[in-house]
Order: sequence, then C-alpha cells, then structure tokens
Amino acid sequence: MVTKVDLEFKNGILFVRVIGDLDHHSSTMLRKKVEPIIDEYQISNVVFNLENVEFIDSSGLGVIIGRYKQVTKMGGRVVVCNLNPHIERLFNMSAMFDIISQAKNERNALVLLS
Amino acid sequence: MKNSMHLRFSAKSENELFARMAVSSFVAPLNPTIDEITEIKTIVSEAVTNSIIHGYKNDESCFVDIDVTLDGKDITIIIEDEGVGIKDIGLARQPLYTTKPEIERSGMGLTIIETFSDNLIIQSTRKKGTKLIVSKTLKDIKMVSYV
Repeated sequence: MVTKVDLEFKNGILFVRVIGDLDHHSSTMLRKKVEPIIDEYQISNVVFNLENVEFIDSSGLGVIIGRYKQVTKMGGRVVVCNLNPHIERLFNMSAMFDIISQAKNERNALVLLS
Repeated sequence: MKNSMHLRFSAKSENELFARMAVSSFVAPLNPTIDEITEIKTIVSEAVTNSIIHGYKNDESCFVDIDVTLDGKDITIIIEDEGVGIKDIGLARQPLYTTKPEIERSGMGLTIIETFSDNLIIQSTRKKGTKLIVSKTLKDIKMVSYV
C-alpha cells in the first residue's frame, strides 16, 4: 500500500493528513513534500492528523521531530492528533510529548493552536 | 514443532514494508495479539531501516537477510547485513543517540527493538556487517486448526 498525504492550509495552520504506514520510506517522501511548503509559505503551525496511520516507526517520529525543529525557529508549534494506541505508545517511549502536543482531533488541535 | 523461513532482498527503502509484512504473515498462524504483531512489524522495520541507512549508507545494490524461526511460542528473528558495522554498540543502544541527526533520525530504533523484544543480541564487526538476533515469546498461543 502506497502512503498518501492530504495537505490543507487554513487559519494559518498546515494540516498534514497521512494515509498509510509511516516508515523510513514513506517518511522520506513526506518530508520532501512538506518541508519546502513550510519554508515557502512561512508556515509556523503544523497539525499531523494520524487518523489513517496504522503503523509508525522511529523514522515516522523523525519526520515529525524534523517539522518541529523547522517551525520552532519561527515560533511555531506542532500538534499531533487522532493517534491509535500503538502510535501513542511509541510517542510516549520516545518522550515526544515533551516537545509536541497531542490533541484528540483536528478541532481540538485548532483550539490548542489559537 | 519448528518452522523457519529466510528472506533476502535489496537494501531499498520500499522493501521495508515488504519485510515487515512478510515476517508478520509468517508468524500469523501462531495467532499473536494485535499488539504483538505490531511489535514484530516495528522490530523488523527498525532493523531493516538501520541496515539500509547505517549499514549500507543507502547503497541499493546491497542485500539484507532475514531469518525467522518459530518454535512453539518462541520467535527468533535474525536481521543481517554486510555493511560497515557499528563503531560503538554501547553508544548505539542508548536512547536518542544517532550518528545521523541531519537526516532526521530520532535515535530510537534500537531502543524500540529492545523494548518490543524479550532479548536483543547485537553482533557487529567493522566493515563486515551487523547481525541482530531478536527473541520474542508470545504470551499465549492459540493454534487454529482446520479439519
């Protein structure tokens, strides 16, 4: 299954909706797509909606950390939402929530960022 | 009742998906829980990624080998490459340590493998390669039999 991404920029926030697995292969593709957009449009806040991600590994965490580093330079934030228990466990294991906020869904992420 | 299999594939990142799906399919008859299947897939994905990025430095002409043996509810997964090897295994096993922060590595790969397995042995020789021997015992075994 090929991983897809749906991007939407609204209310000053880039919504990254990933569909499929987030491993080293697809994370590299995702980074190549998202990184230049953040730079080009000077985006500071990013929401990763992982509702349709069943599987993630440390490479998937890496691409999210990478966007965190990219936007904090501009005073922005990264929020992740709709995590399944496996993803949440991996985030906890890697202390991801020390730097990245979690929201239940996109609506809550919007509240967090406004 | 032993069962075993061997996989050999090009060190290409798109094969990470193939590797974890193949291994999870092979252990499926043991009826692992969803958590156990996810842990096995994550272990394979992390190990294969390490071989590709660190062992072979993205040289796609190289090969990664995986051996899986099932013995009752004991699973042994061996992931092996003939890459550059690990300079300092102790350092590599530390959480958040990475030799490649510039390409957005989280440094969590080996920690995740260690956490999701019951035992992890790392054998590595400089310029010869790296071998990860991962053992995992399923909590409960429910064989489905068809008559």
